[in-house]
Amino acid sequence: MSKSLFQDVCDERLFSELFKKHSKNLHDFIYYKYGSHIDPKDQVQEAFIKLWDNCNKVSVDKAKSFLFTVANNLSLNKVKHDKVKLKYQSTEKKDRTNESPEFIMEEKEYLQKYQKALSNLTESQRVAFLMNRIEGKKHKEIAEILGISRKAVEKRIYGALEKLRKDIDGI
Amino acid sequence: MKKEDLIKKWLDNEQLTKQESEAFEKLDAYDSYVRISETAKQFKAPEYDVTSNLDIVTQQLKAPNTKTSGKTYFYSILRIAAVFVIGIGIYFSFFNEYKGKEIKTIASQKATITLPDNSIVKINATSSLAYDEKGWENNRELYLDGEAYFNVAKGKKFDVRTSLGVVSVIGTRFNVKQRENIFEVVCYEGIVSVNSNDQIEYLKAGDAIIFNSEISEKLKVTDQEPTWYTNKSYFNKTSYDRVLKELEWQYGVEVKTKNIDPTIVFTGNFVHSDIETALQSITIPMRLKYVINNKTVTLFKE
Repeated sequence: MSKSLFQDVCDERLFSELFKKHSKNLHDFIYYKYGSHIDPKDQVQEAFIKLWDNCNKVSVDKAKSFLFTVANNLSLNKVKHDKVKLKYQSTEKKDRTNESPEFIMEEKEYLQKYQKALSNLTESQRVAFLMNRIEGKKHKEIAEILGISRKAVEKRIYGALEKLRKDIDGI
Repeated sequence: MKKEDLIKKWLDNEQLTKQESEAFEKLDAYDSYVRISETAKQFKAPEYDVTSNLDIVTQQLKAPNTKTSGKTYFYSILRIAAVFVIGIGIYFSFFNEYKGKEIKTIASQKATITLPDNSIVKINATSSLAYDEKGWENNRELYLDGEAYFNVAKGKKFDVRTSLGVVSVIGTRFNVKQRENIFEVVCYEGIVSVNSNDQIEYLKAGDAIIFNSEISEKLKVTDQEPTWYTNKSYFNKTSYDRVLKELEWQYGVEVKTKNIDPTIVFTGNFVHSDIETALQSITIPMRLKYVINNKTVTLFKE
């Protein structure tokens, strides 16, 4: 039997590696799921501190799911059950002054509709869709991060796209 | 290829074949899909800098010593605070329970109180009475300084403790009077036992006992109630200095005498409501004069 069957994470180098590997995904996951008002950075920090506190109880291969569960639970404790409103970066660029006021207006309205549609998605749809579209992750990667099957990810993303289209285009 | 599968493939960021791209571009909602996909990027999560955040976490993890010591410091303060809280709690609960209720009357004031077992106590002027209200059922015990009349409900032993002796009764009416070194007990109903200077006397109804210094004197009384509660002090062949002492008690004044023999005997009474009338009733029969100066009364013989 392999000796590394249970290798705990009580090693600073291993811990740093885990941090480098998972912290960004964890941060994005929390952000897309719950929005910015619960301070995703803090939740990530807390989750990793909890991991360190329990390092002798958590094996390396369980570390990721431990982190995601802890961060999720921490966020759930903080979340106020109002709709998640993600912030958008305005696309206005100074060198493009040739846009008509109508266009700018339309663009702004579209973004607002988009924002509303995003908050109408289920949490799991939103997380999968935004990780895919924004972070450019393949379905397989998302499936690994979330610990679900590739098919499920595919279904969530597709469902999110269709739902957004219906909400935005008003079909 | 089905439309749904095509979209899913496109969503997976995979390279579509030329044929597939054409089919995808022909979809009605093609523009919508592209725009939705493009706009999503504007909702990007804020930048997350892994290195700086790792630094923060490692710093936090390296500081546990100070954190825990801060905690123990906090806990030790909590402990000290707890000791104080418990101490104060014990002080108040114990003190209150032990000392219980205290009733004080000032000069010219009388009070009637009903004890938890419906015994009635009438307190004369300048007296104080203390008892344990909560434990009354188990321990019928009163501390008396001054004079009071008791109408005791039937029950367990009823003790009146004074600095000069203890009076114990079972369901009776009696009066206890304690004045400096005079200790007088009158029993109006039932039996009382009086314990003063290790001397135990039993009084039946109509018996009175006066301890003056170490000398005790037994008397018979015909009254049904103590006379002081009718707002008058009665004296029967009482030495004049005791009459004056009584006046001092009732009115809270100091009485001085000039050329007066304190051993002369006085029979009569004075009222508790008005000091002028009271003084007249004790001076005129004795052919004395008096002067009131604030809280001092001077009696003299012409």
